[in-house]
Amino acid sequence: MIEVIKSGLFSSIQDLGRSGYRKYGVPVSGAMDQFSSRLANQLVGNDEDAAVLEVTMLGPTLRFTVDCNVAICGARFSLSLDNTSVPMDQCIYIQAGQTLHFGSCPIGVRAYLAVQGGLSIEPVLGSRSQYSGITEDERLQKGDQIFMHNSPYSVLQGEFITEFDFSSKMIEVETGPEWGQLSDLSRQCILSNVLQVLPTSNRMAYRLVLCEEEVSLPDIITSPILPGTVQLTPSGDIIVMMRDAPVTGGYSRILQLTENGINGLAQKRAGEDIQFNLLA
Amino acid sequence: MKPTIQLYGQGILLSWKNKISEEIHERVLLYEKELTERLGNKIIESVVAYSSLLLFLKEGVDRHELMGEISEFIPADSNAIHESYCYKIPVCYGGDFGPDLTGLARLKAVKEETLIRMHANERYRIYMTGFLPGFLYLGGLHPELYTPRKSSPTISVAKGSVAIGGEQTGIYPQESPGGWHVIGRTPIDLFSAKKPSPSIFSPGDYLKFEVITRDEFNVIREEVSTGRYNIEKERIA
Repeated sequence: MIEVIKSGLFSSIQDLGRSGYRKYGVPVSGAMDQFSSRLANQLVGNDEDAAVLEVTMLGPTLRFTVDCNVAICGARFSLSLDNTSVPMDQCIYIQAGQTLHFGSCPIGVRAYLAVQGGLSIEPVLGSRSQYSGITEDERLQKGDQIFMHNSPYSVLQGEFITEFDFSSKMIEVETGPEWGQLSDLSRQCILSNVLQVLPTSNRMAYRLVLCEEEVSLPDIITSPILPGTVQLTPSGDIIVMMRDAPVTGGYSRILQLTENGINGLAQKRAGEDIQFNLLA
Repeated sequence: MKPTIQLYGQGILLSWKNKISEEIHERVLLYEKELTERLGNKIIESVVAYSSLLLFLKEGVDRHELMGEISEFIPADSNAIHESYCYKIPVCYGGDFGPDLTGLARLKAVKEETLIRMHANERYRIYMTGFLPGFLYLGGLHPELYTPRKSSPTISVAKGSVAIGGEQTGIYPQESPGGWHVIGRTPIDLFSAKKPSPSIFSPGDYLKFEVITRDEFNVIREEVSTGRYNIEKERIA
């Protein structure tokens, strides 16, 4: 099992989310950057939906009590096993008694620790993704013990170069249900300008500010919304719903991030610039 | 009343007139029922809202083909009556369960008992669940009780709190920050993640609030926590 010596800024167990319960108002949740979480699982021979540990900005310190294979993908963290530096994007063998320490990450926001066999907390409503009010805990605390499943499958050996481009500003989008309510000028403004990520961004929503311009749209009556939906409020706030988004909302839905878009935005930090890339 | 149909994310969104009305909502429910039956396992799940319906498609299903099929679709039985229930929700009003009751009564220039009667005498329609797991959007609040939300939300509204905000009333299914005016509390659980069916309420069902005393609150709370409490319901359609 894994003992949490330090929990890090915000670490939680996630898989690809819980679907089938939206009608009860249950958000889908799941890993913020699913490109990286799937990759980490692939490297240790897991199903892509196996539960992983999502770490944010300042990572945890974890002590392993059994031998196992792990892989870490996503934001560029400095990693060390006991006092030796270890690489990301590769299968690493950990011996019982060793401690994995995540430092900070200068690039990106979230990384994923996959353990061969997958993490084995009790699933709730079909998923192991932690979410306040659904699972017992919403995040890791110091002193927690995380167990893992046994796995008969083999790992992918060798080095792997991630294709994830952390430096790209472009976030892939499609039009949203209320895109048609915007004037041509407003649409052009939203697509051709740069937006900045605000510090109040989190797993539920990213807040963006359009530099030097202002557009707005009136409220809509409460309607279904999705992770990736870009909402525009009457006061000109731009809010991008992310994985823990509620299932309904009352603001105009102007754009919809693709899966690539959500994964990309999940790695953007407060103060970083992005630009929407509207797919034809 | 035909909806507009468009792709939205990985799903298909059907939208009717942007208005809250029982008639429109019945239409949404009819489409939801019949399309779910007709399209079978091409649909993973659906979300009903005031005047729209979002269908989530199974991976690999041809969305454009399905959009075409849905555009041609006419509900077979527009006079069909679906099974619906009215649930009795016990509520203890006022005191520390309803910290905003006194202020609200003063604002409306009515006695607290009058306000309680106005709130508890209505039959509220459930339009959808959203905002939080188990949070029901209810319609039918007496217009005299409409009150704008607080300009600054309360940091912590207790689980089970019954509140009024804008033109709506609702129940907080879990502790959360909130900007609505809290007038009472229910001892029942609206949502439980531990159950395979986490909530018993469906859009198109109704709720009625029943006034209970503090002692009754405690008794029911005890029954709820030991799984012995059954919510009273009557079939209305």
